[in-house]
Amino acid sequence: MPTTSNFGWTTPADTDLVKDGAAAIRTLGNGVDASLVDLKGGTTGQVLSKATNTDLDYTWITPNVGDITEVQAGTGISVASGTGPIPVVTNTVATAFDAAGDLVYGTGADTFTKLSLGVAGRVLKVNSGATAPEWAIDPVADVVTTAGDLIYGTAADTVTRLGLGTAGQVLTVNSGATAPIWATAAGGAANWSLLNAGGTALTGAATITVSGISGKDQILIVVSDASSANTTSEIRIRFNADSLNNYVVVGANYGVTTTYAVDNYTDVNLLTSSYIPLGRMANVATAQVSGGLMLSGGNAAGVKAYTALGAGRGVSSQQFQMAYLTQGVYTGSSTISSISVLSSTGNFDAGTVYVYASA
Amino acid sequence: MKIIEKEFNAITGEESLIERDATPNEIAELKKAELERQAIAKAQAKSEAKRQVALAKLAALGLEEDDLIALGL
Repeated sequence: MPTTSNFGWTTPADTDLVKDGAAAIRTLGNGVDASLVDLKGGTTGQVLSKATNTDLDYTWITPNVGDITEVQAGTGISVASGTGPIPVVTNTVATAFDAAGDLVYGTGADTFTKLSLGVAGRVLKVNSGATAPEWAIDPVADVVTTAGDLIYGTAADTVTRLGLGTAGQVLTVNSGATAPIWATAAGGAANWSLLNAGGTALTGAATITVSGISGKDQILIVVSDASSANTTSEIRIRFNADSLNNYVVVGANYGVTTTYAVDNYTDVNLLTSSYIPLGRMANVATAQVSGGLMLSGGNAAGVKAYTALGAGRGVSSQQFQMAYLTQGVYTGSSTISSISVLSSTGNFDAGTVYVYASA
Repeated sequence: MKIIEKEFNAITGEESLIERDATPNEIAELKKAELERQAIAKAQAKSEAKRQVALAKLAALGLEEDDLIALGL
């Protein structure tokens, strides 16, 4: 018996008798009826679903409620073509990254922003308002350049480096009280040297200055055989060419006059002097004064303390030479950069000044 | 009033002469020093004149200055 090519339903052969046609049609109908039996039944809304892999093996099923019909954007998610046919879902956190090294951080509930990569060596820290992270200087990588460097603040949230001092120096505060510096230890061993090699001749002027003094805390001025063209000239000392009344001078004075007087030996009490006296020459042009002055604190802003002594040389049948033994302070605030030896009257015509100093 | 100042720079070793105006304090000091110098010269001259008179009186007595020193005077 012939059959259909796809489902194998029985059909009459071409040579079968017409009288058998009804039976043949019934056989074919029964075959079709049996094959499509799974299409029978079902309820409204149901759909056919394959029951097995066998041909025409179906079953009626109800589709699941809640199947996705639209995709909508949510936090951190954006959607294109949300209702299809092919929605495109994008993670907006991921798209916030634009370049290698970018960081994404929250700016509030469900919000965020990007922090681009900092420059080399920077470190991540919390900003001054404690509201967000930020890239900041790494004191180690960005400030330190040399072995021995120290880091100190120059203002709020700002640092700089202090290079290593020299051997034996100690850390102290600068004269403006604004920063640490390396400096020679106060009270350390003095290291004296003569600043004006061979001394400076006291000739040709009434004021002889030795300048170029720098960084010297202790200064010793030695005046040897100072002489003026005029008689009875008093030899005096000044610092930094300061002729204002910034010298406090107290001590003793011994003066020789023509006759004994009670004030031949007296005190010195000059609280606002414009110089420090060393000694006075006798009443003859060839008379001389020698003396010295030791100053301490010359490399600081504070007052400078000193001790001075000197005297005019006694000359036969001449009088009026004077000796001074004084102490006091120089109240100028600048560090000592020069010393001057003065003749109160007449230009110097002989003598030498030596300036020794120690840091 | 001008001040002539000789300056030796301890760093460069150079020596120079500087002429500058005197400060008010310097002017006062110079005037005072000159007055003192003149007063001293006057006092010393007066003292010397008295000494010469005294020496003349000693000589009239046949004495010298050393005789008074020998007597502890």
